[in-house]
Amino acid sequence: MAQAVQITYREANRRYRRAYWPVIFVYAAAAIGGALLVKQNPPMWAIATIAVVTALPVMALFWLMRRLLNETDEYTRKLHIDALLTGGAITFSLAVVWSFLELYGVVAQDRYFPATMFVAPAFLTFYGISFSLARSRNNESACES
Amino acid sequence: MTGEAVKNRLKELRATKGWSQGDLADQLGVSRQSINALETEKFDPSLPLAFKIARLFGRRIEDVFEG
Repeated sequence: MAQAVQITYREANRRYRRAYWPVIFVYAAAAIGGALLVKQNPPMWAIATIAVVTALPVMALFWLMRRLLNETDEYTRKLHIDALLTGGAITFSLAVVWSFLELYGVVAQDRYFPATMFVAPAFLTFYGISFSLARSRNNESACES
Repeated sequence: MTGEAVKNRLKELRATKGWSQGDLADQLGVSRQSINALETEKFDPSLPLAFKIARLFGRRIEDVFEG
């Protein structure tokens, strides 16, 4: 990882939160707007563009997470890295199991929501849960005086 | 983290100043959870952070941390 930028933990969090909600808002708008546009039967190149544009905020979110990792304090960075690895391990393990279930015909391939669509949300969810659990474990042992 | 954590006198030094974990965290630019993890010896600081802590208390690094 690149050399951490020297700003405080609070400032790093503030910068992350300031960008996080606009990105989520753009994603929601693009997902809803894109679905409505696709119903109008536009040409295939336009549908492909809508698909890519809808995914751009997700890419931005991963960039924000990387920036937060570079800017936050070293202990929080350790918690994030542990949580990212845990979230990645759970998500990709489930994805591999699911892919074999599909391959062997145990589960049907859904025509409307491809399984790959759930990979990023699942990863972010498991990462978030892992990080929250790690932080709460630390808080439980807190001995503020 | 692997192996034994470095022992430190952070809690004791903080008490002499009458600072809370949050006060110390603010002065070091880190989270309160970081201070708690350091005091409970669940986390070893990097060398730059260890120096910063020692400087803040006006001590030598070996007066704050011991292997």
